[in-house]
Amino acid sequence: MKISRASFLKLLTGTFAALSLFGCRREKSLPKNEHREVSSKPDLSLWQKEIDEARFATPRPESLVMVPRPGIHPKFPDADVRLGMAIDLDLCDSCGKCALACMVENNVPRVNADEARKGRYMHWLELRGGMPVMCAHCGDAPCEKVCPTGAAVASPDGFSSMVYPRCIGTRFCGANCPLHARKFNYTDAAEQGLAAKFNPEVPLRPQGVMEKCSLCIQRLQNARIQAKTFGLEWRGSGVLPACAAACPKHAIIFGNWLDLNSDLVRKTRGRGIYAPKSIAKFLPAVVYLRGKA
Amino acid sequence: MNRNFLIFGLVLLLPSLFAVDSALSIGPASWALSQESFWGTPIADFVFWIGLAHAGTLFSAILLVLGVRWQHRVAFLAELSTIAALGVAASFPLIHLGIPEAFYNMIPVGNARSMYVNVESPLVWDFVAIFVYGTVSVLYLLLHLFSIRNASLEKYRRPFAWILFPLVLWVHTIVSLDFAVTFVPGWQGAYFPLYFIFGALFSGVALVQILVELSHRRVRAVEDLLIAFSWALLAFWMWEANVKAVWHPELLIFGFLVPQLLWISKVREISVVRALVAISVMASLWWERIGLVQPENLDWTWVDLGLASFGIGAFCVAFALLRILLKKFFPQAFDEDVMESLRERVVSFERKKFWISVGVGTFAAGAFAVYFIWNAPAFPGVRMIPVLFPIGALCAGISLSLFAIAELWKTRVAVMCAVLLAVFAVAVGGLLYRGTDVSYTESLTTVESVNPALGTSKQATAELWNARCAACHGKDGNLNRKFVHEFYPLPQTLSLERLDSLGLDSLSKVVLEGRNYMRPFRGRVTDAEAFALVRYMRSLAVQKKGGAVP
Repeated sequence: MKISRASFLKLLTGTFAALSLFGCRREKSLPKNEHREVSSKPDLSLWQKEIDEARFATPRPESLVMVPRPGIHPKFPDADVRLGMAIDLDLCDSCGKCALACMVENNVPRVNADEARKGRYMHWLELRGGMPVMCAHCGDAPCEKVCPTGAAVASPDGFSSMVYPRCIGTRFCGANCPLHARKFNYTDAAEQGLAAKFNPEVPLRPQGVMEKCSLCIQRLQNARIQAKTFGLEWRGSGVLPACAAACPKHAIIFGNWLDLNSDLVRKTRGRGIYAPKSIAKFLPAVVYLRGKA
Repeated sequence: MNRNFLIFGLVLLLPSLFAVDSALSIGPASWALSQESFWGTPIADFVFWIGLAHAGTLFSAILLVLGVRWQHRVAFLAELSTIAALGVAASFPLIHLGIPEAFYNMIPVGNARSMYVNVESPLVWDFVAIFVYGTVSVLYLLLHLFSIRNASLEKYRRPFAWILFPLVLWVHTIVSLDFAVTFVPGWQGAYFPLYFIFGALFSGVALVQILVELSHRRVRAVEDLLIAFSWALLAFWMWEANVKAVWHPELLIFGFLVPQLLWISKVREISVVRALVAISVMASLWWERIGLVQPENLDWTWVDLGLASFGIGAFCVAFALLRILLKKFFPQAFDEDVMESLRERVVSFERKKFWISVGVGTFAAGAFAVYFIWNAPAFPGVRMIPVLFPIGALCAGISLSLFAIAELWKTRVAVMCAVLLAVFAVAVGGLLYRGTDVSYTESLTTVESVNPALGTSKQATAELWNARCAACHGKDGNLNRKFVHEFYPLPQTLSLERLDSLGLDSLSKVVLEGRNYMRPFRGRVTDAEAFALVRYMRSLAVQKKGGAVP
């Protein structure tokens, strides 16, 4: 095939023109020449407002039944740590400071208006009828049983944890949780500017992943590392989850159920221990206190 | 028939691809779900289509094993519909996932990070069972096709059917366990496996009925089966109403009363009525699955409907394409006379090779059990049993196919196939074992922010002040005059009035960015700490003035 010089040049110019036009296309995946947007401090009142909105979504408290004092985690019979909490409903006046502290500590995102209309809030700690409800960290956890990938897994410290990079979003755990304490990331909150990284120690969860109360695992790990540097054996002391730290009435007591000198065990002695009826048979580690035993 | 099927399928499929696209790009937010009921229409569609697939196997394998005479008349249609329906069914769980591209995390092999799937989970059972069912069904169809040309393969069909027969029941039992092992009140019941199997076969029989009508034939036994199953399902619906007070009158009308029309012989003779009855049965069973998966009344979006239409469209297109392909390569299969003459063939049962294959399957299942219990002892071994049978069935089916290949061509070809298969399996296993490089980076648009309301504790702030600031500003907020005099011009006194007039924001900015002789502290203190330091500084100024710390 013979090409004249004129047509060769024409072809060449045409190709270059086409290529440069192709280079001008709009492409989302190409890096944008924009400065990183460091917005001003997010207004905490937005988070507060959403908590108040969510209060109306769940106006009824969970019905409680009396349970024995939480003890050894069935999967770790030799462990001497079973972390848990007791929420004193006699002291709680449902001010909602725990819910806000939880969202700020764990970078829990807000949801957009559409999601809010469907009631798909992400709150790890909800105020159901004024009662703070979060994952109960069951010993015999229904969510851990059905998770296919092992993303929902029991921690040797006796609580229920989540491995976010392992989660593929089958949502079986959420379907199986009678307390509905698990939240699914329906949207990418960071993309919509609804998430804020208050706490650099906690990753933001991507879209399509389940999440729930982690008992502020980042604080627990820091306390453990600190104890280890001093050569001490950490048994769950010297640390508080965000909700417990924020409670002005000290109604949320955190500690180790297996340590008889811990705050938790001492303060729950002689009190009536209750758990939500739906999960009472799964050996919850987060329980409620009410009246005397 | 093929052309009409294809056109009808495309009309439904092409628009519904938009729904699939938005389901995949927007994710589960695009269809009706809530933060309490996490399973929606894709799961219902999955259960529906997998049920339809089972009927194909019922007609091709189970009836063959049981020696039913009219089986060969519907076997081909049924086998093809199995493959098409299974393909459609398998796509729905993938759409359902939050992160569809990560589905491989469910494959039960280990990886370099010692992460094992949770064999306790019904979803792992489900994943394995459906994969195996699909593979074995394809092998069975191929065997059937090749046996038309080559009579010597006929003797492998019955052994293969014996593998497929229990597998079908196993698969649908597992699908029912997806629901029955949970703690959702409406999904509990020991009768679920039977209920699901009967429901699946009922809808599947209806599908075969439609396909038979469309190919202008008539198989009375299929119509009889339709009536029989409608009574079986009535029993289950009555049981549900009794035990759970779940009551769906529309199911009783369209699922039970309408099939009873077939008792009237005048009506039964009309082909359109027979097809309509079958359609009514299928629609009512689809609606039943929807009601089961999603008891909560949620607002459907257009994606819910689009996915349902995708199922029907994809099935029709796949079915028509499969038939067109077969017509090209195996024209005999569509010749009634050839098929009728094939029936007269003497059929023997390859007893020895069947048992060898069963042995291979048993060994494979045992090896898997040992491998898993050895590596992941945390999971209860008993709960692994549901995946062991499908794994055994897969290996038995493959080994039986290898025998068939050896018979069809040469032993050498079969050995080659076995080696290639092993290499492929090892390669896939190795890839899964290595895993991908997980980068858990966060988007740059994330707002990094401080929370002045919480900040750090006063104790920590005081320590920070003493460490970072006291060298110049002094522990008590008065200047460390000795040091400052020597090196710097004297700074402003930080009185309470001055601090208040400057404000928290600008002062914390001074801490972070620096000013005049003060060095920037960004990177050494966080935004939150800067705020806390300014507040601490103010409290020092208050103390100095003699007031109480607010």
